[in-house]
Amino acid sequence: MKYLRLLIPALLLVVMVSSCEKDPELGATTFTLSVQPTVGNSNVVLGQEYLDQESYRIKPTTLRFYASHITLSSASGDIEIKDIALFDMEDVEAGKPMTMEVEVPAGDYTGISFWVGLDSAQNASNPADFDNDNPLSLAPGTFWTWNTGYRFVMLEGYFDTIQNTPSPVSSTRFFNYHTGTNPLYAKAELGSASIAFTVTEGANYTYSLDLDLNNVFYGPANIDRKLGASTHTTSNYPLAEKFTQNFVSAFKLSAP
Amino acid sequence: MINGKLLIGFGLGLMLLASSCKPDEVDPLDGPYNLVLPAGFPSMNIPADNELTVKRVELGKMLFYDKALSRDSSVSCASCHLQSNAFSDIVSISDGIEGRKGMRNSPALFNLGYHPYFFYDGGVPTLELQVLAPVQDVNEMDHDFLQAVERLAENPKYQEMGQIAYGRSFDAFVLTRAIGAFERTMVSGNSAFDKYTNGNSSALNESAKRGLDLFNSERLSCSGCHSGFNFTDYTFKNNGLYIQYPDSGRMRVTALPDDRDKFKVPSLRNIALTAPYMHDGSFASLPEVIEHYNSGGAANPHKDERIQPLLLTSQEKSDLLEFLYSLTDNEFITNPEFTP
Repeated sequence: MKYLRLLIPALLLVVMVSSCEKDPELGATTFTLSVQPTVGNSNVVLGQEYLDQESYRIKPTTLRFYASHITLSSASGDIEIKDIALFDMEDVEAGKPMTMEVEVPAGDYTGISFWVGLDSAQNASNPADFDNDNPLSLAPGTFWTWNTGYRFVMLEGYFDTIQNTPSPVSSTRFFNYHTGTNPLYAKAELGSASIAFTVTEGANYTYSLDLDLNNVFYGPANIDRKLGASTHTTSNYPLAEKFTQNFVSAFKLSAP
Repeated sequence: MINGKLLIGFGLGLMLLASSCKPDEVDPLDGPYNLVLPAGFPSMNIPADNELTVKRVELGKMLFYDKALSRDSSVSCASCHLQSNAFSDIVSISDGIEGRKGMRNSPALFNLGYHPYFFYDGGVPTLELQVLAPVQDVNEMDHDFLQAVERLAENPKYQEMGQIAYGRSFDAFVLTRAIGAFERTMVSGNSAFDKYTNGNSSALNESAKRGLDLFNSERLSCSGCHSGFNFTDYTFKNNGLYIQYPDSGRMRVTALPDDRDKFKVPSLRNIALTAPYMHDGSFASLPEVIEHYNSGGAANPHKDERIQPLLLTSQEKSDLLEFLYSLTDNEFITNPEFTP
């Protein structure tokens, strides 16, 4: 009986600890979602120049975006494996992909999905509430202080508006696409980039996507770079809409 | 049957459970701040995670006056928000660091705890979030917020105050919460008009009383927008300042064409102290403002329909002016609670 007297407070302590945790452990197998920015077949290195598919010279200097509600599908249902991940080229070695790692249960999965940006509740967060290693903190520089909310996607750099110009790219043609606000929260249109795969217990698994900047500029929406080289979303909302439409459909399955 | 030891254990467990998850506890060295609201003012909604305490408000005031917030330590919040002017500035556009000019007139600061959003375009919903903007604005303090936090955190006093006020080391959370707490205490409601409203019929002279009647009249419709105890309905309106505005106002944050050239209706309390007027500080004096409304304003397509020629007589203009003077709260601008 005397152990029983200690047991109840001990159980309460367990409840206490578990009630303050954010996420349950899902399993012991590491799943990596990898996103490799490219211009055609070339892996992007920030600050380096590329010729895009229309032979315009481009030099990306910043690329980061939020993916949220990253979900694996299976025959038994969906599992959200990550609520928010920030993919940031500044965090990776030159030419390497941006990655997000999480533990997932082993099993057969039928596909993957995620949203680009933050849902309205996430987007209403106060960045001062988070430690600097949290993707919602002030540290990544994604928060708009003058129009509360987060930039969902930041793509910056330089491009030429005349084809086949010699290097270096014009230093005066700066571009910056900063998209955000709740209406532009959009699901990634993965299509054939979402495929079935198996995660084996104890064996790490990497799911690799390419993010081709050709698809961002020459996707379903026509972006005339001569007319629109900058948007802070509300400063040029039609351009932000077009950029978002192209960005969410720019992901392709990486070549094996 | 449950015995006493078991109950004690159960109670201890519950206490631990409660204390481990409760975010907003008050340190024994701190205590609740007694926010006294003027007669007739509604209760103020205080965020649950930033209840007012003596130390939080004290820390917020210290930070409000600290120039270390700006990149070159030349500008504090108080540099553009002068207590003698109801925490507004005396110039059209205030100087940021290195004399840089922003785009809008420095607004007066009082009764902020009642505002549903901040800035002339309403782009920020809380006082705590508002703190971030001027610090990072390139034309104001031009300081990376986390670098500002890092600099301020080197001050042992701030570290000590952060622990007492919020139970944590000085960080962005503490900085934004403390300034927000201080700003909520900046309550103004002791003008001659307030005394008159609260029963002192001699607090307003006859001219001011006539001005009050004019202000509330259907003909002038001033109180259509400048309504309620704080003389604003917090909506966004175009008052016909220009045919074409260089600043798109509310549209800047919504991208909605209907919001073009509209700005948040300001409170008229302490209005005699807050010249120059309008979002860009383009009117130097209250008589100029009255003349503007009397004229019916410029033909902007977004102009509020109530802005029409008023055909005011000289006496009516004088009475309106007298009423506006009666909204000055001299106690507020000398209150040592808000003085460094």
